[in-house]
Amino acid sequence: METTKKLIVGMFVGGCLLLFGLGLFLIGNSNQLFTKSFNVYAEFSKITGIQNGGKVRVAGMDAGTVTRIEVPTGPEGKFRIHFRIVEKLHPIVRQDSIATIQTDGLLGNKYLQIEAGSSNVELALKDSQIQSKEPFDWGDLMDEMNGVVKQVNGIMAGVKDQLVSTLTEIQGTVKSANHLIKDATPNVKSILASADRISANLQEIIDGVQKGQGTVGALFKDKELYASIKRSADKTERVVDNIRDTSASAMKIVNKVEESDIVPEVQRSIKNLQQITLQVKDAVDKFQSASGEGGVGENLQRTLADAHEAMSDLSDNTEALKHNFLFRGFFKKRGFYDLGALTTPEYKNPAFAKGFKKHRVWLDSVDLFTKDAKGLELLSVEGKVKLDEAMTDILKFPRNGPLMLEGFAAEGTPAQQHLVARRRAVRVQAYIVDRFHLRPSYVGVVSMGAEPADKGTVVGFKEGVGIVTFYK
Amino acid sequence: MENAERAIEWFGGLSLFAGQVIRNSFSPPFEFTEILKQIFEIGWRSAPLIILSGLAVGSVLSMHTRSTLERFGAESMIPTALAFALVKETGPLVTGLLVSGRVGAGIGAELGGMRVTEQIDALESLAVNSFKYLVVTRVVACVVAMPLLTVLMNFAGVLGGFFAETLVSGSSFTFYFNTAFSSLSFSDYIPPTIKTTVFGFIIGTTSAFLGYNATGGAEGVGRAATQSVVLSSIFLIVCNVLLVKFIFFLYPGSGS
Repeated sequence: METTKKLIVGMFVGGCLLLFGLGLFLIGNSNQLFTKSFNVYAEFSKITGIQNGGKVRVAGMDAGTVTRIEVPTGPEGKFRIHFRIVEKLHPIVRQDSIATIQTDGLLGNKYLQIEAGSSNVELALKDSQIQSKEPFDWGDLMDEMNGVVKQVNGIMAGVKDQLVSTLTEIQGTVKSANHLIKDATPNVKSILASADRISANLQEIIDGVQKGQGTVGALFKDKELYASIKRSADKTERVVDNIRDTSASAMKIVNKVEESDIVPEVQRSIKNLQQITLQVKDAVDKFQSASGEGGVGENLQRTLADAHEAMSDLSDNTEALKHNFLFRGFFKKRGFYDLGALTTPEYKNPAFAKGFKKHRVWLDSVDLFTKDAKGLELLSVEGKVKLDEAMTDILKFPRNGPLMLEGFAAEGTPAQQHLVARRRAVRVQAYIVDRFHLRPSYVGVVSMGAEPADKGTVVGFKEGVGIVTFYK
Repeated sequence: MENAERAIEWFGGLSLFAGQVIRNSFSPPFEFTEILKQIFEIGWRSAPLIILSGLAVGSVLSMHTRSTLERFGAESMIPTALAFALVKETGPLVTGLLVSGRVGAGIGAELGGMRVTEQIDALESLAVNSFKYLVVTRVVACVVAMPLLTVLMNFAGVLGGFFAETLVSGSSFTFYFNTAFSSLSFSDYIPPTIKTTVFGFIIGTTSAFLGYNATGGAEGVGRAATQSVVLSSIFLIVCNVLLVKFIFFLYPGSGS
């Protein structure tokens, strides 16, 4: 074999071994194997997967590796993790440094984290123990949360029972109040009727007096009677003088009484009276506050709410009545039940006003509206003129079906389109109902957004109001 | 049935051949010059193929790793992931397959040719131990060259990964290499490299066995060459499974 070949083989083998050594060096260096270091240990109940050779970091900096893990001899014992820390980081590893087991990233390997200690504490000694903090365990947290949830459930169950009984009591109170009000209503009405009669009678009496009728009327009109009264008054004056004298005598008596023991007794009585007054005042205050919240006032509010509910029920009942076989013929004949409750999909449904012909007039929003300072659309003067013209056209047709105002708007989100379209239709409705004395229940409003009901006839129409009359 | 019997017989023959190789490897005379020559042929001449393949495999792995890790915002882990993949498995296996393709076919054809042209018989008649001279030297050269070529493949792969990565992120050479090796431990690096000696032994023994026992003229030589590549690749891949399990058993930490 030639020397060159031998040289090449030597270089090849040497070079590859050198590369292998470089790999060893890089790995050893990253694990701080070629740096002067010292050994310490920490104890943990759970080591959560840390292994021999695992990384050790001091205040976040790579500082060494776990060298050995001692398994406890009994269940009460702890795992003892021995590890190396490079000497250059020794100054920040103090006796109060704390070791914790951490995870590298979300799913990475476990490593031992040593927090820097306090400057006023001695350096951690070689082969000594570092304080440790047990690793955070999701399982423990979940157990605790589970306990808390159970407690909350228990409390909620208790509160729920109390709440139910309280609500039952409130319901009872409301019912009683309702009964009271119902019972009192006829009396109040009769009182008011009596008051009316009394005031009418009084008016009659006053009129009579003014005309000099009756005794009092005579008093106003009879001069002799006046003279007689005057004389009586003179006599009264004299009587008063006598009383004044009597009063002076009484004063003397009072002075004498004051000198006796009666006065303190009277003062005590007055104090008692003051106390009674204060108690009465408290009672009145309580009554007032009771009537403010949780008392009579609140009962009345609840009663009103109940009355409102009763009205809603009544409304529902009348609505149901409309659909009753006795009445629905009428509503079917006129083509609709309630235009106020009509939704856009119901309106678009061919079943609406079935059997009616329709005539539509389009009005562009530019022609109808002007904007105010806040940017809201209002009917312009020109718009009103246009509406009058359009209504002249519409009113030529028989008025035996509904008149629908379709609002259109194509700008903004679907919700904005809906609102703007509805507002436009409502503005027109308010104007034409007032202007042409139309029956409000026959004039309906529907928001079409950007989507016409029958696309075929309304190509390109996006902004404005359509007036549609249905007739037979 | 007859086929199965023949297959078992063939496998028994291979096993005895392998035992003979091991026994002869440790008994003198040692054909050092011939071994060096074979290392030159098998190792040095395979180096360009291995380096080029390593660069390509490394850069491709890096690109794939990037596209996956990017989704998790873990681009900083690209060098580490690449080094893990290359050093622990891809490097040794790809090297083994490449060497089995290039060298296995060579050994099978060369020894097969010598057998059918009766050159081996001629050597025997000159009192030369043809087995030691032709087979053992080639197997030993494969055993020595495989880990060396694997190291080359690993570094070429990491380098290829660096080229691919630096084009995208402008990562520095020092940072890339330090990060690549920072998460590796010795148990991740040494056992997978050493296991390639077994790959070398499989490639050398299988190809030498097929060539050394070739029959049937030129056709037999061709069959020996083809079978050398196919069988040594299959044995290598199957044996790799056992070796990986064995490494996990010896170094439990390297499995994670």
